[in-house]
Amino acid sequence: MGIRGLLLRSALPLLSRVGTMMAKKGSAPFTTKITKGITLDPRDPKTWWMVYAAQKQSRTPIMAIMPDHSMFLGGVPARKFYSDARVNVNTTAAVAAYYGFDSASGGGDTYNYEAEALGQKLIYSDNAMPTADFRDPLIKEHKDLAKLKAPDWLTTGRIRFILDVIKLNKVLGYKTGKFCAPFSLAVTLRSYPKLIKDLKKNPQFAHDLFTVLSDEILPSYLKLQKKYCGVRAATGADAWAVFPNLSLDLIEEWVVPYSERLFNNCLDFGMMAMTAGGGDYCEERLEKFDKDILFKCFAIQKKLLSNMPMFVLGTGPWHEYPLEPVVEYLTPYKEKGIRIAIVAYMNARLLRDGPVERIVDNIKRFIDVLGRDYNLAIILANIPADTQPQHIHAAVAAAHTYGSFPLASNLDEVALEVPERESFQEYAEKMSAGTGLNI
Amino acid sequence: MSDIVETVKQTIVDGDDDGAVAQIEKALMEGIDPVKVLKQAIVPGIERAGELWHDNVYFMPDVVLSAEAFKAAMKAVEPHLAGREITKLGTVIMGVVAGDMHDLGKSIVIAMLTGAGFEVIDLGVDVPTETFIEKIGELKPDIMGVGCYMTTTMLELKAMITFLKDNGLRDKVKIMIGGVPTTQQFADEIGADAWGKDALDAVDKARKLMGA
Repeated sequence: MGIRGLLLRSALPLLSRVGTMMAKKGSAPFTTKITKGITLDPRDPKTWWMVYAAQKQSRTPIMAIMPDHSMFLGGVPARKFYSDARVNVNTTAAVAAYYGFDSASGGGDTYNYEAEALGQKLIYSDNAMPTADFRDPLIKEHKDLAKLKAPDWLTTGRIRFILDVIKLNKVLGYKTGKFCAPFSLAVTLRSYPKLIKDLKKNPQFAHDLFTVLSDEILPSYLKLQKKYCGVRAATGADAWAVFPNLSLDLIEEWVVPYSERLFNNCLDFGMMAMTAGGGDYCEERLEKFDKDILFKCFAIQKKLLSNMPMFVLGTGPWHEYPLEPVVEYLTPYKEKGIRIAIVAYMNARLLRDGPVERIVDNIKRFIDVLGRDYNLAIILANIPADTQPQHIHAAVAAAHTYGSFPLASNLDEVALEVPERESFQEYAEKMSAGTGLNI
Repeated sequence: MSDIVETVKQTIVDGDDDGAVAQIEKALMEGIDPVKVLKQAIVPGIERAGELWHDNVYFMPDVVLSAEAFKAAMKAVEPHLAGREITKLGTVIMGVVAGDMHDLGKSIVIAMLTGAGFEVIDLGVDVPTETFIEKIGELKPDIMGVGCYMTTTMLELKAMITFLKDNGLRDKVKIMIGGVPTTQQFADEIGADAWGKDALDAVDKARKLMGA
């Protein structure tokens, strides 16, 4: 272990305490800092958002995961959006500026880059995000494990694309790298049914697979990411490790240890690599909502986030779940004077289907219940491609109006005006002085 | 129920595909009627897995393994069912839209529908509209099940149904859709006949489409 790793490791308890202190002061997660004095350049959509963001006020932040929606609104062909970093980030920044999001970052098919570079076959199409060909997994048989060698990352697959996206995101104030967490990467390389069978019937093989991913493949990639992009932290997407895609026992046995192992390995070279999404509670059937399971998911999140004072209400149907159990879980923290950070996702299907009133009511409910005693950030979860822009404008208006600090004691008495907005194309024409998105 | 039939059922519930095949071979060697193996072991096995999922005892990994064991069991018993009259609730063709490679949900739905008495023809993933059209003409299914798992590929469904309408084929088949980004509202928007929220719901909706 290097000196830097030793120093970082010994600083972890302190980092956790700093996180708690920051939480007490009232900053929400993922808040970006844009220096005032940015000049608007019609040919650079990044500046459209940066000029907007430099003026932002004190309020509950709202942001979005929206690669498909940005591509769709921008009219960019999928093959270009998911392979050209400048196009990807500029389009995303333009869409973020159009809606008035409080954070902006380009990105794409998060689960594919490392797998593709390792040799996993992907399918490309004109209209959709690239996707792994699950009919043809790289690790078909156990002997294929020997194929897993860290490649020359920069010259393989679309690694340079995503690293350039991360670099451009830094211009937007988003200074965090991205990677695919060990469990989800294993699913992409092996396929879900085969991996589950491995976990149950051949655990030694599964341990060998996770070990090589956590000890060799991902650390070598993240080391390059740190050097090439100049980032010191990265989040690893892990949608396959949510409940009930995995049972709690399997998450504890297979996701937590290897996420921690990767985290420790990366500390050695000064990178904080945390997996995100594992332990997310995503039960789809409301009648099966189970408070005890939710609490156990929170406990798992705590482990995955190295005891940082933060919890995620992720991609499940939180517009239908009750929020009282969340408050019950968080009350002990509140009683200790800790302002926990809460990242609350607004469900993608609600965003697409609407109506506006239901979207607004749910944003208001999040803020009313979770925005007073906790540092709340709202994320619109993977906005579907053809979502009506009016739905998103309504969500943003609701967050900015009801979430304006200090929060009104009775949000029902706060008047909300959802603006009638021009189309995205009209907006882009206006901002670019008639030259369009310049992509 | 004989011990071996009960054992076959339990292998399906437990998601033990190798065990299921071995026990079915043993049962058939002992002269047990393959229809009995199907109706008293394989089908109740996958039904039980569905019940356990419904009751929050089973989660996705358990259901996937049961579906895999069911698939292996069907493959083992089907050659022995040739020429035997098995009552079917209806015929379903099922596939995932073009550009989409996700087949996990489809596999579970196929297992549950087959267990419920439907004959299901799996068209695979990344299936072009032309293939669905061709199979409607060739197999004359009662239901066409289409899955999509990305918000971009779900738009293919809209184009597919419009194509069927434009070519006078829409009334030849009932259309059921499903997949993570879809909703009942989306199904209504595009003119599908049913939306399956999950595998169990898909079985209920398919039964309703058949008037069962």
